[in-house]
Amino acid sequence: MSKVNIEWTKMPIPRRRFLQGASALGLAAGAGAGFPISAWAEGSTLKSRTYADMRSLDPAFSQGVVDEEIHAPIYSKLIQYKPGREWGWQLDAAASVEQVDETHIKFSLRDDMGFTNGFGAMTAEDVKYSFERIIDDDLKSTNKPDWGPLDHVEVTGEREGVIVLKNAFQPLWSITLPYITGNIVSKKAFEEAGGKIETSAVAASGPYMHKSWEPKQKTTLVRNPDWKGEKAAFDEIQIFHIDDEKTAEIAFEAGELDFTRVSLASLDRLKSSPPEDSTVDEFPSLYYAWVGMNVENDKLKNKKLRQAIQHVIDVPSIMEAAYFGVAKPSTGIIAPGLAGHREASLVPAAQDLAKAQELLDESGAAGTKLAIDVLNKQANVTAAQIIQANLSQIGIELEVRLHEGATFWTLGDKSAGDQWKNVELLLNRFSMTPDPYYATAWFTCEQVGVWNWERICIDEFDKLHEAAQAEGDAGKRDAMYRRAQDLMEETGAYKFLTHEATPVIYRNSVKPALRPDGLPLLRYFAKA
Amino acid sequence: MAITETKSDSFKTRGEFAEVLHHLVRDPLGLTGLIIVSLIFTAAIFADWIVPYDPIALNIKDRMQGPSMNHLMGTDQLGRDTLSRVIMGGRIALQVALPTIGGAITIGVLLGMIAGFGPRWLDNLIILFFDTVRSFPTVMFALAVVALVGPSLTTVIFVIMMTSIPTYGRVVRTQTLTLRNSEFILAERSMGASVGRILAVHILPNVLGPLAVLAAMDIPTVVGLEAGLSFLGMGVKPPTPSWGSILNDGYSLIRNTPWIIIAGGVPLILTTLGFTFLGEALRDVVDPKLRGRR
Amino acid sequence: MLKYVGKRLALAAVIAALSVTLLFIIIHLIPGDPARTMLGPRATPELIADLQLRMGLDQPLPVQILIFFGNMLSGDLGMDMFSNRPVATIVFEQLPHTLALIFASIIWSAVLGIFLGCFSAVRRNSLADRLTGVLAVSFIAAPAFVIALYSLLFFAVELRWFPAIGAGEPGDIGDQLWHLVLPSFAIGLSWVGYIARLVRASMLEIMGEGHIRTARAFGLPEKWITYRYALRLAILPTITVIGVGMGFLLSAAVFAEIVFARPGLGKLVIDSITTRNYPVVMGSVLVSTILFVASTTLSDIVNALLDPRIRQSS
Repeated sequence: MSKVNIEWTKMPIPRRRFLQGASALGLAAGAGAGFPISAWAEGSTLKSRTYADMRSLDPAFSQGVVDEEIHAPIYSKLIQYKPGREWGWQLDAAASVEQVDETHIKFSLRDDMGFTNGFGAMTAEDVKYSFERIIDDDLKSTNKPDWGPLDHVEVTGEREGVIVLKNAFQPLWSITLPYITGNIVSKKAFEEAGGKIETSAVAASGPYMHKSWEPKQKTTLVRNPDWKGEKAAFDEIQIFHIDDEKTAEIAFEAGELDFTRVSLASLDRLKSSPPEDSTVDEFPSLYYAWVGMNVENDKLKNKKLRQAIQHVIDVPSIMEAAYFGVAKPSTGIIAPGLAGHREASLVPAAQDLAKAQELLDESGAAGTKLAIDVLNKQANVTAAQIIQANLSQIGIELEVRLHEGATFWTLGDKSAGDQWKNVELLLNRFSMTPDPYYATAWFTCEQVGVWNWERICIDEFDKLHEAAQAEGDAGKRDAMYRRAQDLMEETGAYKFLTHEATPVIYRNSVKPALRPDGLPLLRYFAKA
Repeated sequence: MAITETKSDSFKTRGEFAEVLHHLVRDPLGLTGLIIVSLIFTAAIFADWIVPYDPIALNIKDRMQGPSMNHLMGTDQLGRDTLSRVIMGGRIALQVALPTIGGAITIGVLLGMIAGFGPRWLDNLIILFFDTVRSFPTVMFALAVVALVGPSLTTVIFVIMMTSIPTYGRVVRTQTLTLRNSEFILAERSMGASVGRILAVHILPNVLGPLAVLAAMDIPTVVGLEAGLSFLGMGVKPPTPSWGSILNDGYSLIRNTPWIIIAGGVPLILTTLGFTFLGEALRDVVDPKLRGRR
Repeated sequence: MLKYVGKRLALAAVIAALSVTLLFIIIHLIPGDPARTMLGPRATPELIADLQLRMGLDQPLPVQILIFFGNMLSGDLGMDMFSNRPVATIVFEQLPHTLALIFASIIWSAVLGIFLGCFSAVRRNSLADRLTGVLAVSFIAAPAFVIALYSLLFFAVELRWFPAIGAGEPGDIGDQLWHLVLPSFAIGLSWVGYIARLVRASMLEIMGEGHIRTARAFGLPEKWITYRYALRLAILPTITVIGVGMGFLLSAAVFAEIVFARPGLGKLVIDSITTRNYPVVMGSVLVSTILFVASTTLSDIVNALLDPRIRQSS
């Protein structure tokens, strides 16, 4: 790791600014200059926290945000998310990126980008290798779907190339390039390592590089001495793996962390009396939680019964008790700030007891006994007990069934036998990336019994999902996703709860760089 | 304790049982234990009448309050009255403890007698079973089983019962082995008394005393285990109040309010004290030789 | 004596093997798919099937058990498919934390127990002795996880005297000890009463014996005699705690590790059970069981060495 031998050109040229294409979010074109990092100091350490342990240093086997938080500082991408309150991207390893037509994206690399450990300059070959390996069936990357319709990458020069898609794909700009699948690794280094790596790094291309991993405790990154971009702000970044937010808060208050997400339960207390020299801030989150109903379950085939349940659940009290008044009711699966967000849901968030009773009477299913499956986490268990109390108001007895993660995530899985038939109500929560396509993807007919556990299959929905991911017109795209959520809600199988919230706390000595959903972009963190 | 007809030498008559009680009451420790235990039983039996509020009724606007005249132990995150939940939790605790210990004693007595009276190989086999069950840490065994069949009271009862059997079985085996070769048993046998009769008439009454002591001492362990499993979310189902699930709520909210943890833990400690004091005092009365064993 | 030791060791091995087999069966009956948990929501059915194949989950149960024991004998506890690291490595990373915790709690109970026991013995039948007796019984009875919660609440959250979470900075022994205080106290407290009683009883027995009277006659100070003997007497009960108590201590450690968010075997077991990480569950339970069986056996043997009567009777 220590031997450094870099051959790439030492002739930094000023970063050109390019305004190309539109970011898929329908916002103003999001390209721009790199986030200015002026303040940095020797001998400085940033202590951050993730909720789970690192799984892999290979982007092809990255497990979502946890690994990406570690990968993003050590691997460069063509473009990166731009820190701030609105979704957008900025150039990183690319000197320019240009959408030539629907399926061709031309890029050129900066000539001061390279890899550590003597793996030389970053070339278009590396980009081609990094992207194409994700869709290689032999590699079995779990992140293949994120590369959507990638066909191949054409290398047109040492540092120039064209990404060729099979068909138009809007999420390219909001997920594929600036997130997990956009990480550029060294072809030579990876091939020498046998085509993939596990938990030891081979070559970094970002401002930081991987130093060590103490399983279940922390990952340490250090400044990449060969980095030619704007100097990294910290000598060292320590990322602690602490699953419990309460624990993380205590660690923060003890001075053991500089930045962490905190629990919703503590937000009030931390806001009214923040620990010394620290700031509490709130960000919206993209997660979506909802109550789903299995329409193929014998009892819940009854649409009126489902609608009665939609109307009897009182989301505001769930927000109060389970989310400590911090989160707001959601209108669907697409959060505010993304294309396709609905201003209001068809069924109001608050309980309408009269309407619910009326629907129940019409359903002829009075006195039905139901069960709700819930992941064993405090917020879920609390929410389930409110839903239980809500349903009892119209005489429906609801059993709360708690599950550990491993059991819960197989409940509706058709490959796990017939148990999906017993799924009645579900308290569910999915993670999300900043593109609406990622939300609708799980509710199609193809997903029935995979992740679509309500088992709703609507032809129009599937068509909207297909069409919207290629739709270039922001307005049309927005309307399509709104319509898709209307369709979901009309089935009576969904009661949308919330997108939650991301409260964070940081030391005032640190200037955090966060995505609009409050997740850290560690490579852009600076000293205040 | 329904011992009516017996020829052996312990608990012969109702009079003797009353004497045990008399001894208990004279011992301050025993008296304290007896009072606490009676209180717990009374509260559990009459819980429906005692609770100031419905223990599962939500009142979200009054959530997470400290103690007040309205809510003597405050409220939880759903605005439920903690005191009412604690009282109702006592009933759950006993609902788990009594059948668990009853079952464990029954099976333990059977296995222990078979081991003590049966052939050598069977004895060895049963001892091996006891040692095996005892050799995984109870909690880990419980976790595995609960994960297997899903959390419920029945599961909890089954798991704890399984792990308690060896405790009773070993005592019964030892007692049986001691009595087996005693003169009066040998005499009975030579007179053609059946093994079943000997076990039921001579040996069983002799082990009841030590078993009662063990049971009293074991109740806190069982109650503690149930609470522990519920604390991990592997015991009772919501919204059923259990001391463990109250503690779990309290642990989640430890930075918001200390009252839920305090309220959930006190009855567990009281139960433990009550039964242990009672068991200790009972031991002194029943079998002073057992003193000093855990 | 050798025969006795040999018999105990053989029995220990049989028990360990049996309980691990039993647990293996129980665990494999649990619904829930480790492959799916591991791959997360992006996994396609083909990927899941492929991983199941690689994890050997397609093999019949008895074959899986045989493979497990076969590998175990060669020191291989299998691979954790989640992180692709050897299970043995993972378990032995966590084991020291739990051992330190258990060891520290035995120290707590020995120190407090000896003190209370001597205190009682010297003032036998006084009010103080009675009170200490009650206190000792109360300690025996206290459920460890409630003590853990209360000490977390009072000493860490409210008073902030001790750290609330974690095991301390690696490499910083002082910090690690500091982090051990509360969790080990919570576990150790239950055994204080046990040791106090045994110490008190043996003290009373011995204080009437000849050599103490002789010591007194030589004018040795009363306290000096008392504590010297107390320390010697405490060795046996402390060893017994390790033997009788290892199962309890391990169970209590599970809770202490959860409440104080400490790394360790207990937390590892819970985490791996909830994620259906079979290889790690098996590895960590195997090690806990061996730990338990070994300490019981060892303490039996030591007791037998120190007290020949035990040898005779078994």
